[in-house]
Amino acid sequence: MKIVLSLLEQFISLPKGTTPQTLAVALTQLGHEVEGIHTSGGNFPNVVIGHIKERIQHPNADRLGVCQVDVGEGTLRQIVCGAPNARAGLTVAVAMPGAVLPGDFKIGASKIRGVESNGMICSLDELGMAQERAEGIWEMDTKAKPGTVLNDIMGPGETVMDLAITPNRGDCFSHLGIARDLAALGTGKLIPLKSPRKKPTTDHRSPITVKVATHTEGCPQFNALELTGLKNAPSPLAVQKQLEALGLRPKNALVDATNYTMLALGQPLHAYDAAKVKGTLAARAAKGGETFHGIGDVELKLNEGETVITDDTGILGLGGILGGTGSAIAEGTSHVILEAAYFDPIRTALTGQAHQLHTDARQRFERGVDPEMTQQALLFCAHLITQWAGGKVSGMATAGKGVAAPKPISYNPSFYQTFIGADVKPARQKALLKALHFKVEGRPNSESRIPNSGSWQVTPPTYRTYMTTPEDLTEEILRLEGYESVTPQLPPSMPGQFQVNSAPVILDRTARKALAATGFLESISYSFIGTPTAEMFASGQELIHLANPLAQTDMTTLRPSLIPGLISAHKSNLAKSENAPRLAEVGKVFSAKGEKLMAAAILAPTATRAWRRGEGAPDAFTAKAAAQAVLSLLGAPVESATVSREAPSWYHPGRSGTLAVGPFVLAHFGELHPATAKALDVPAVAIFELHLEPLLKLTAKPRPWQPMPYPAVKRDLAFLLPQDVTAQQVVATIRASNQTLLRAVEVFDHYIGERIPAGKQSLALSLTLQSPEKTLAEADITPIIQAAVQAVETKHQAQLRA
Amino acid sequence: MDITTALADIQARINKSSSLKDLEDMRIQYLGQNSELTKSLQSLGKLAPEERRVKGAELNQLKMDLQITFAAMKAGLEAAELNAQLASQAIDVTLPADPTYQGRIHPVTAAMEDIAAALKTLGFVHAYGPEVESDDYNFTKLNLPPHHPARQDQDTFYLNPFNAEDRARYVLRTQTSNVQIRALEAYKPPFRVMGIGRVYRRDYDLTHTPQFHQVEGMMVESGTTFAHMRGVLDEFLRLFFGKSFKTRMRPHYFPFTEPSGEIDMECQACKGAGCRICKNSGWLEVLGCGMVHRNVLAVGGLNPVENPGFAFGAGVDRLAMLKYGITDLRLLFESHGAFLQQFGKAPVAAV
Ligand SMILES: [Zn+2]
Repeated sequence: MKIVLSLLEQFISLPKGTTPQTLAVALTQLGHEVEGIHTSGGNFPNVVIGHIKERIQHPNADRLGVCQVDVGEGTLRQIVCGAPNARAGLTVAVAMPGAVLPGDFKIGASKIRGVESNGMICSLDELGMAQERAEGIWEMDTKAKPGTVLNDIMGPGETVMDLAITPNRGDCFSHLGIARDLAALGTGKLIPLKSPRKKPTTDHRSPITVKVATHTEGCPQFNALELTGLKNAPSPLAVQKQLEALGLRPKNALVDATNYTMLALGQPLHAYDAAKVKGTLAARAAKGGETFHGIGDVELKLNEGETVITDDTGILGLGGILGGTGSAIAEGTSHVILEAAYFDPIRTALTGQAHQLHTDARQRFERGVDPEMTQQALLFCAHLITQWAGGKVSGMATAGKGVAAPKPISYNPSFYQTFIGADVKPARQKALLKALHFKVEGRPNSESRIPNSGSWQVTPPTYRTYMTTPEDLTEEILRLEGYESVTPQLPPSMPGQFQVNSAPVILDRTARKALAATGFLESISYSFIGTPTAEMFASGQELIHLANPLAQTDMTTLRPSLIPGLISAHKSNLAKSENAPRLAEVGKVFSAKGEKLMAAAILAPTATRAWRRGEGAPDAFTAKAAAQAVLSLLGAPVESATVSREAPSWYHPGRSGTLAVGPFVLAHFGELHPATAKALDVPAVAIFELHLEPLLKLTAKPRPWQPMPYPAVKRDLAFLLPQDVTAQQVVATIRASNQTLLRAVEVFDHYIGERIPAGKQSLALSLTLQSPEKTLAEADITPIIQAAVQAVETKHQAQLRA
Repeated sequence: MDITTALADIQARINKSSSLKDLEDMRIQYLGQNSELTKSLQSLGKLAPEERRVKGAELNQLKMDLQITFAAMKAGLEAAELNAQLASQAIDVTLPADPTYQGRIHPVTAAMEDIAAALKTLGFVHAYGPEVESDDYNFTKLNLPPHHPARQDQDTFYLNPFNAEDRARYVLRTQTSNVQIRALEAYKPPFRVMGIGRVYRRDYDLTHTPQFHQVEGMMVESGTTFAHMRGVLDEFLRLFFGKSFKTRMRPHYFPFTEPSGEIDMECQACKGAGCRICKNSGWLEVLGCGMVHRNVLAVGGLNPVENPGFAFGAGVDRLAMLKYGITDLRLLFESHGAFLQQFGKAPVAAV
């Protein structure tokens, strides 16, 4: 929320020497973070008041005019001006040569299309006094003489502070609220609100004709009055300047006064064209399905229970959120009904959420406005309007049973010491609470440690909606004492270790390190990807989509696999024409069944041109090796894993596989399916994915150390086999042929080609035999080898090669 | 020729030999079976005993001297030959080394590890919370009912389909604070837990990414005070950054804590004087914290009088950027190889 210093100072007299910076320190201590300080409306020593005496058409340009302007110099000044509203008789702001306007825009004398121009006639935005681009030059309403410096009538620029008001401080969404908080801290003295009348008046200056009613708990207090005989007039320049500084565009006395009242006192108001209101102005709960046409071309279908304002003919407004088009005031409306009500915060919040309406009124009502302020604000605003636009104020019509008074909080001041860990004497606590306008009653028993025995009864002011607990009160005292008043303390060390299952987190972090140790750069990509891509990786599972994705992005569906993210990271690296790094990621993948922790990596040929030896493109075996290395670092029993030739659909069906231990699938590896690669527009790459969660169930069993004092013996065997027999099958057959002395079976050569018959493959294996009891003799070895050969020959139609 | 002259003469010739073969030829000539010396030694027996003793000693001395000379010369020649051979094998060691793959963990992962290590020292244990979370755990149980104004500030991603079974609305967690609720439901005080991980908000601009990382910590223990919270958090920052910084604490608002605050750290770029990085304030916001709200403690059947506690949260990405000198948040999620190589950390002391 923005506050402007000149308006703040109508509610608080600040100490001498207060600067925006010292104010910012005080506001920060109070919990209102200052996000920026700037000046609105500048200091323009070279901008003066001028009278346009004559405007003629520019001889060389259709859209330009040549003006003769009196700026109090005795002679007229010629200025070329392109504004459509430039005409004789206007009072305008003239930037003289030498002036510097916002945006470092320097004004000089020049020739425009061959015509001399000695200065510039300014629009509001050129002077930095309007946020939006103004249509034409500023038509000033001032009696100041030509040549008067603009500063003399405008005063200096407005100092604006941008505050972050936290959601619990609805009371601070106004200048009055900020002033109250500052005064409680001791920064300045509150100036009592100059209110014309505290109570609703029955002293009719003009009779009230409108009747009001409320039939819903969504609006427990409803007030209105009438204004008659209004002239269409602008608000005072000083007010316009403040509104501009606060980011609002001044319109006319009526609109400006309602905005001004809301910004000053925190109470939103609404004005109706009295001629368009038929019968009783009433608040009621909407029936489901009713429609409402709101200001700004908003067409709503209302939900049951939402608060609406009606007259006898229909719905005029969505209570506390948005006015309707039917009863909106028009330029020149002279008879107006002004409303100030209290709308229920919860109802307002739910309605605003349901219709996605963000208005200044909603922002204040859903945080809770001060129920004691509604009538006061209504009168304040009515009198501003009549002050600015003439007319008469009627008496006030009110309805509703009002808002429940705040409940007292039982509070023992000793709680501060036990909860905060710092000492503030009860008398001081009481003084601070009173400074914040809390009512403190009762006598605490300072001996008692039980918080509710002999407590104070502390009643918050009506505008502190969120104050309900003793902890809330400690925060109030702490804010005024300063959070820095608390001396940091370390708690005693842990009284016994607390057991939490950290295993999934540790697995997540260890996997990242294992991938890095295996040569991968860890990537973190977004958890959401494009829906068509996600569908390619769905594996038949139901996907989860974002119900409200960011606009203009393809982040629409939660990723079912880490591979798409890695592929797009890979592509963006290629686009930077760099070596494609080996990338890996550890993170969650999602489906309707839930989220799973996985790791994945992408291996692409490096573009590095090595002078020594070329490296082949990574293939299924490169991916398999890396997957096994990572799994092994993670403690998976890789040696007992089996490989199957299946893999998810995005893998090359003939060049991919799945690693599993028993029922636990640990990894898929292989080359990316050429069709997937084509669809994602990526060159051939090898990939792997690891299922990490099964590792939590696969604990490698500790084995005792077995010394092997006798030498191992190696024997090589080569077989000619049908091509559909896998290496894994042959190794398994050999291993099964001897369980005791066969230590290892390793494939060391594989051949398919011209040197052997078609349809056959040659597989060479190295068998390691070792006994823990003796050195193996030829007599021990031969039968084992023979058994192995025989097993392979019979089981796989193999022939032993010489 | 007397024997000394002969020895000097032969030694001079040996020292002139230029190759191992030369040297071997000479050795055969002077010490071989058919050499004069061997013959002389063989004919010693024909001499009278006295003469034989004198002559024998002389000849044996000569033989030993020659053997030493040959051995020395041989070693020298062998070394020279090896050196020549090695010289011929010399390579240009300035050519590039073989390519290797240098893996790195992401700077955000490194920060998560450093944060976990710092908090572990302070007695906090890792807890785990899912990323897809029910509305209940992400908001309502954290004292954020559906109408709460703070809900708008959080720009939540909602998910389709809703969970059909419990008909609950599901969201991508907007904060790691869901770990608080899970801890309160599962454990009895005293406890100190931390949760570190990915969170999501519907926000994408220069300084926001729709996905980022948070750390959450909670300590619930009888006797815990606000002063303890400040002590633990100052110490956490000191452990994480490896040195002490000036910090300040100011009030803030979180629905799940009361009182609540934020901790700022003195801007290191300007030492508190004010600069662009700190938006001229001299301070950088690093942590949000507060005493656990009674409505949150109630989830675990606790209350702030008997089992007070505090909770805190911080942006991991921001901490990583401050610690490692990364200036653009969005770089963290672009997987740029050169960036990951430069700012990623080696996985040593790992695995
Ligand atoms: Zn700085």
